[in-house]
Amino acid sequence: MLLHINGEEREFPDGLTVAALVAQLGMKPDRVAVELNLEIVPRTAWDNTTLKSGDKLEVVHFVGGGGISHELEPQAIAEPDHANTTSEPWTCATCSATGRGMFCPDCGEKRPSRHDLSLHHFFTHALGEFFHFDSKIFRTFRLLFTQPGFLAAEYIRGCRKPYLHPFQVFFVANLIYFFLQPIIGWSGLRTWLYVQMHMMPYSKLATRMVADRILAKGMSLKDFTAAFDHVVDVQARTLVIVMVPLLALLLALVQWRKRRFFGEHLVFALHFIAFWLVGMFVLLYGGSVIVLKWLGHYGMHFPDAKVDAFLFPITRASRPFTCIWHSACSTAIPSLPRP
Amino acid sequence: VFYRDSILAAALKAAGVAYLLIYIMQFYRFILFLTALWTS
Repeated sequence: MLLHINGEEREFPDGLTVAALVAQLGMKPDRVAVELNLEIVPRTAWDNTTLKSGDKLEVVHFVGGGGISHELEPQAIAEPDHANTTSEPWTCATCSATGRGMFCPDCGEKRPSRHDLSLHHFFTHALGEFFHFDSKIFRTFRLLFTQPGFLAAEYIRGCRKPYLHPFQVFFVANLIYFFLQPIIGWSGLRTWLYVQMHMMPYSKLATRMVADRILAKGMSLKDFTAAFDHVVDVQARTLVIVMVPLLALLLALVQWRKRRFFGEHLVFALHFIAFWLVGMFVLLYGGSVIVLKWLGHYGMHFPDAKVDAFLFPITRASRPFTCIWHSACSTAIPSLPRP
Repeated sequence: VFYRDSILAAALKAAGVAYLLIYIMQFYRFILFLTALWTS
């Protein structure tokens, strides 16, 4: 049967299980994660999962020290006559440990092969590294949107290697936000002076306070608006980061009876804000302007809609967070009278 | 009946939390307004 392993097609005998495949590839089962047709296969299910022709596998090899490698070197493995690919022991050039498989059992260094230095291998390897890193990002972000809450639950459960670290997720989301925000020009976390003075329930009070401030400073409304909006702009950039611990704190208060570690809430908050930041652009490009206007008409703000979009599926995806499912029901907010 | 009651209770609870959420969001925006007002 033909299997696609890390993007390469390879021939294997029929009826092969995942466990048998990993053994055949000469990898240590405790250092490998296998993704079959975009789904992670738990190690406990390896023996019962039989592969069929056409299956697409991602085999990730974990390296001591936190690294990760997708290297399978299928060509080298497929050449049993090659001196370096037999099960003869070899000494790792990096840590001097002795191993028999394709990778060093201690540090994960790949068994050297003379093919490594061929131009073809060199470029294939370089491209592979790049795209496999990408695939990890895509896997993480795909799960962030398709199964909200799953990543946080997985992290807390201890399954962390196949995904980006929560801080990395947050960092990548921030990059997307900061690069795309000026292009799109959407005033995300910014509540401009005009909105404060005309569109909020406390707008009358706000207008009075602004008038007092303008008198005290002896400025024109135009000048004050420019100064105010500049501060709001700076404020918004800081808020993206400040929102994470604030949300974690809020969750810790909501779930104080469960005696969870603050770190657990922080992980969830990082994923949530990342979802929120990226979701902002997905929604913007999704042609949902009409929906947003409708929500705005009912005093519903953009962030609230995304809160619901994230929280609602969590009720199914992640048991540890079911207690906040009540918040998810706030999708009904638009039908409620405004406070 | 139990099923219907529990759904109703959950819905009411959810509506309450949602209503509270709106207040929190507006309070949060008001705090932002005050911060920007005093620093500009």
